[in-house]
Amino acid sequence: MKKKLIKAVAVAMTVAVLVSMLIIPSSAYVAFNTYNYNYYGEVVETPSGYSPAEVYYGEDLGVGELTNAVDIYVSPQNEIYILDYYGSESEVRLHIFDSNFKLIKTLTTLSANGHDYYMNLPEGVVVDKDGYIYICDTGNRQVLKLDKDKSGKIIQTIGAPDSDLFTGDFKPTKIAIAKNMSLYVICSGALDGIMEFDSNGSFLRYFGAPDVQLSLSDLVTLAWRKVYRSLLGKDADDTFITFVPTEFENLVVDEYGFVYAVIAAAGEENTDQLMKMNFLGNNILDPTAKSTQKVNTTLSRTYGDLVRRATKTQGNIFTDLCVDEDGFITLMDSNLSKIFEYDPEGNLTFVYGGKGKQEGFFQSPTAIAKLGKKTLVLDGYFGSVTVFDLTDYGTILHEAIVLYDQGLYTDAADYWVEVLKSNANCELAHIGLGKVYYQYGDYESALNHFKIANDRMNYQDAFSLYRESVISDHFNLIMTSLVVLILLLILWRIFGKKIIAAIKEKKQGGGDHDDAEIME
Amino acid sequence: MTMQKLWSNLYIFLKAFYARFLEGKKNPFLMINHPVETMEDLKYKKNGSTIYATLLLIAFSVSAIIQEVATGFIFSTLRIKDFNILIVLCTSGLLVLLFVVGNWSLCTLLNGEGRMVDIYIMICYNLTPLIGYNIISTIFSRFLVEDEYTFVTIAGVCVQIWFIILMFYGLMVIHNYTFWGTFLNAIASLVAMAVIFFLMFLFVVLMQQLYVFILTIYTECRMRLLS
Repeated sequence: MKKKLIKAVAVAMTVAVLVSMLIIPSSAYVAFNTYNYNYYGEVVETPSGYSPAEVYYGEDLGVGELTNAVDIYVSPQNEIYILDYYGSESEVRLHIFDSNFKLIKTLTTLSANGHDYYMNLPEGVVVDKDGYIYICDTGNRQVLKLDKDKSGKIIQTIGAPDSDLFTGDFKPTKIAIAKNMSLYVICSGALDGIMEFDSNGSFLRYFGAPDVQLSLSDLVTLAWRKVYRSLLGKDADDTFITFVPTEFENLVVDEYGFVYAVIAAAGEENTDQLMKMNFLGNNILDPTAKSTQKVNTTLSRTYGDLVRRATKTQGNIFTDLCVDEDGFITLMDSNLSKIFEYDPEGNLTFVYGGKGKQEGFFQSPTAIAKLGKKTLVLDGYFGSVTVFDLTDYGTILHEAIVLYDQGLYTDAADYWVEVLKSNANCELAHIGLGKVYYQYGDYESALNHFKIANDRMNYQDAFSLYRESVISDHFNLIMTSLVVLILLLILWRIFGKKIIAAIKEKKQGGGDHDDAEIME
Repeated sequence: MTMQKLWSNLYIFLKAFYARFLEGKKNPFLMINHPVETMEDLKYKKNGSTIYATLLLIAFSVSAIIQEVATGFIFSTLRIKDFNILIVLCTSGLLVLLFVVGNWSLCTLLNGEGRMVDIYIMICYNLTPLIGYNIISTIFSRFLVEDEYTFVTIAGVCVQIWFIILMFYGLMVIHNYTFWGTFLNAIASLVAMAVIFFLMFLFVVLMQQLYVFILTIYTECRMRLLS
């Protein structure tokens, strides 16, 4: 009898274990730590938002070894363009794949007016919505426009602009194209900002150069230079450093025409490292927005790792960025091989990747692109393309943020709850939920959520309303006690002295008795 | 019966306390109403009480701690795990003591008439408005928002200015200095505080090295002799 029971239990348990193994999906193992920073600037690990799905090497793609791959771009037609230098002669190749990484064409030799044309160390490639390909032929000092039939026919070249504004060498490195066909080009060595060309290829203007921030010592230097000049003449100041805007490293344009540009390393304290620029070249990412306010004492936001390394060479160096259809900004750090994803408002959502040789790590990432929700990372050292998929958690978080940014707080609430189930530390989720509670008048819960998220601005708004509600709820009690108190005070004013006198009289009358008792 | 006894004893204690500290000339709260008179009495009639001064100093330190810990969420980014009581003490009570030492050691050299006890009592008596402000601002910070708290901040600035005026006058009376003499003296006292701090820092560092040195010798001896 007993044995039978044990047997039955054992069988039942085995079955249960087997069934549970079938039902519970094994989540993909992700080797790297995905993290975020909290209000106090401490690293908080989060569930992984992206997991490596596939790694393609050159051989897998049917193009031989991908050596010195420099750029990857996903066109509006969802075709993938990869630029690399092949072999010892650095033969430039432009590979075109469809969205499933099936090779469509490889361009090596281009043709211009019937002659062969060889590219010389090009660094950037983009494709406009009609399929025309633009290549920054850096070594040949010009931008090439190729025909849309992918035959490699050059139909236009844009060289050094014939303008008074332009001086120096024209070395286009990175390029972006807006919907209205204006071209944005970053030139190495051009410090006045991003160059804008119109659809005919004529130079329009510079824009977006970050303001030069002068520290106190810089001002002293400037003043000393003035004195020096006045004493020794205008040509005597060759040895002085010059104060010029920081050079942009890379740029991208989203579908609304906003230009996103990134500066490689955080040299100046007050320079915005990531800029989302409107037509005037002003940064529209709010520097005072949420996230890590306590750490960030300057007005500019800090991007990348907050825990600064001892030397600058070990800090973040951003060399590429991309923006997905929902406006999430992804920065690629080529020095620490990490990828930082920011939401459209500029709040950090995930940090993933890292230096290494496992799946999901890179040795020397050179470029990054977005294929729908997937992130493609080009590794120049291994010649590989790593495809990252958004995990379930990442999908929910993105969905929540998108709804939240549209102002649909109530719709976002369900997603925020889901996010908090996976990650109770998510400050954005607490703010989102807090706003929902605030909207529905549950100020106490709103306060609780804002407190966890360290969001003092929203906390104040909720608090002043909460205070009001408490006072109106207990108005009777508060008013009654106030009136009673005032009455008591008035009575004390009138009769107080008499009462004291009466007590004193009584004390003197029965005083002997009291004293005797204390003496005992 | 025992209850009645207890109450009577309490009554007697309070009455004695009142008579000892609050009713007499040593009442430090007189400083609030009659600062000039009280300050002069401190020096010429020796009306100060060291006990009461110490109590006020402790109250000041405690109020600074209360302010640090209990300030409302809107006005404080402190997490209780980041709280360090030594830092708060160093910026409140110990700072006062440092000023007393610095000022005294300077004024003995510069014809100041005040004794150390006088300086100590004077400063501690002057702390009363600061204590009040610390506690009141903490209470207000728990049910005001930032816009309304501005008034408390303004009040705080007024209190601090009042404190500086009182200190200035106190030093002037106690050391029998002129106006500019006091001014220079006050600045020099701050420098003296910095010097004392530096020397203390140096002392600690040297002591650490000495400790390591002795420890090394001890270890060496133990290794060689005992093994």
